[in-house]
Amino acid sequence: MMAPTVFVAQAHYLHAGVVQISLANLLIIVLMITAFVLALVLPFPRGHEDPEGAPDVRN
Amino acid sequence: MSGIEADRIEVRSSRNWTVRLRERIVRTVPRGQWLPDRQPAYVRSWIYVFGVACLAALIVVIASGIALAVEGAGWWHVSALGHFVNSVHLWSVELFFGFMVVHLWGKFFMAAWRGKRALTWITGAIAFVGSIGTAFTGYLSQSNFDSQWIAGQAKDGLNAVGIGSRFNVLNSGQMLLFHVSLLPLIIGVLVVLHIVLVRRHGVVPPFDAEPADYLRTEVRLPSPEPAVLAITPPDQHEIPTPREAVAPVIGSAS
Amino acid sequence: MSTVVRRSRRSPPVTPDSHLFPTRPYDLVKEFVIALGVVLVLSLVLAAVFSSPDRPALSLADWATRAPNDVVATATAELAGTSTSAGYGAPYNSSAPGQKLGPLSLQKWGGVQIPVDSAKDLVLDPLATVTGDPALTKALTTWSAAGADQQAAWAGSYSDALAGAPDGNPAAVAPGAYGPVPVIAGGLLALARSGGLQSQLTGQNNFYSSDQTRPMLLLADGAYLEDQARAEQLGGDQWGMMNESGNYPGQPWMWLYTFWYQVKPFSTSDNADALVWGLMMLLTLVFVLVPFVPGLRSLPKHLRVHRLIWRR
Repeated sequence: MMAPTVFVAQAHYLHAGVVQISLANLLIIVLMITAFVLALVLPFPRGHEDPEGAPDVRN
Repeated sequence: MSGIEADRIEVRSSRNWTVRLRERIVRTVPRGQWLPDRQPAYVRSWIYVFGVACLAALIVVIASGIALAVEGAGWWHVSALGHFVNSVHLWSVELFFGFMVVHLWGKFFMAAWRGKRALTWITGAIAFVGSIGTAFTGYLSQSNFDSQWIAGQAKDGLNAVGIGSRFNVLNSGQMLLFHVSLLPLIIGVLVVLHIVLVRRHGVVPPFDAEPADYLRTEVRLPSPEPAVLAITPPDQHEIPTPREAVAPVIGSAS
Repeated sequence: MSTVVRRSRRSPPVTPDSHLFPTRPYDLVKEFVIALGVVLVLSLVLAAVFSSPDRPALSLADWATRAPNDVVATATAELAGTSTSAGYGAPYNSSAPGQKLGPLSLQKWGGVQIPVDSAKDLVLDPLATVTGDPALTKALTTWSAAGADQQAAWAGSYSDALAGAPDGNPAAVAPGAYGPVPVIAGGLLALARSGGLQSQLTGQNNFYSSDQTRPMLLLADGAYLEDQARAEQLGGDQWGMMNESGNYPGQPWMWLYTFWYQVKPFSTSDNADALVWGLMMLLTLVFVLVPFVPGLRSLPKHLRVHRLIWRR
């Protein structure tokens, strides 16, 4: 039987027990977790002053 | 009888369907709340940008999808520009799901369903699941090896529960039409409902928060007088409270 | 003014109306426009740098050229009634009861809505249109004149012989009583190579048909498609639902759906698809109804991640 032609580059996979995940997918998940953590810990910029010049929180 | 109560009776008794519909729309999201230029003081975190980022990604997904639709399902196989547009479509979908899931995590940890916001959570959750289904039909519509393999595998799952003939993943014509018409329409309706509900109820307050917790203090110096706690009433004109809105619009879970 | 009424300690406090809280300026439209710009730039950059996979579809002609022995073996299995599609059950035929979710015969209840007779629809009918091949025509006549038992005996023997031949090579099978089967299987290979088989199976009498059910069933009955997929970690027991051809991210959000297929009892069950689907429907329902699930709905408060969001 002729060897099948492979059209794409080999992908990288990581194995740990029953878990198998592609490097690309793992990277996406890591990026998402990082974004979530950063969103929680990075300070949000303080608001601009009101046009009237008062501090930004208005009751 | 207050003016509001009089209006309420007049609206309910109006035989004019236009009046009743108009008033119902106004009651859904009070005037000034469709696009408010102020948010509660506790809305101060980067976690809040993931909802709008998800929406922005959805717009790029749809725009790139329209470009693919305009040129036809096979365009991206034969054109470099087409392939690029397909890539934009793929990566905007990855961003869409990425932002959506982070938005979901944030909303879970905030228990954002509190304060009669259950329906906001529900519409969002169904939109998430619906998006997975929509993306699935997209993968089936690639007209390449992946489509073949995914279709062959998915048919087993759907046939196993008896719905494979209604939703025949081996019929690329049916799957493409689901992908570009029916499913985006359903997602669109869910997203609109979800956003209207967010506008209606506002952003969920923190656990155990009280408005008084966020009152601004005004310290006048120098003065022998003690610091004065300045309390001004809520600005009713800009942000009318929903208690002025009458009956809930969407079911009873508002 | 706050309208919160503190109830007894047992009932949860009422969430105050968000509109009662002091406010700060917030530009929603500017935020949206910035988000749109950022996402657009990100999408364009990612598309330009990483592109997207496009592994060409396998045509039946490709299959016949690259794995001819597999085509012959598959054609024989169709005739013998031993192929996957032949023994599938609903919605294609009644050969098998199909999968069950506990006592519920969901697959069978779906009914035979897409009837496919594997031997007739996938092999014999397409070959019947071939002209100019008297040996093939005679073989088809011999086949249709024979009884079902005789057909099964011929096809079964040839199937075993192919399995025993080196590389499944039809030219190397041991002599035996195979009747017209070798000629028919060889005829299907030739038709596939010519490109005619695919249009026969898809087109039927419809020039515009977009329904690839039949060619896909035939292709999936062979080993070649699956071999190609498994080489790229796309198989069901390889977390394939999450993966993509090549070095690309796939569908990471499918992680939980595909997880169950990797572990018992699902990994060894004949009803795996039905069981996993049932379980995922249940979990999805719980997910959608989190606001009403005691315990789950009060988890966020105890986890205290919210203290990072609402810092004072």
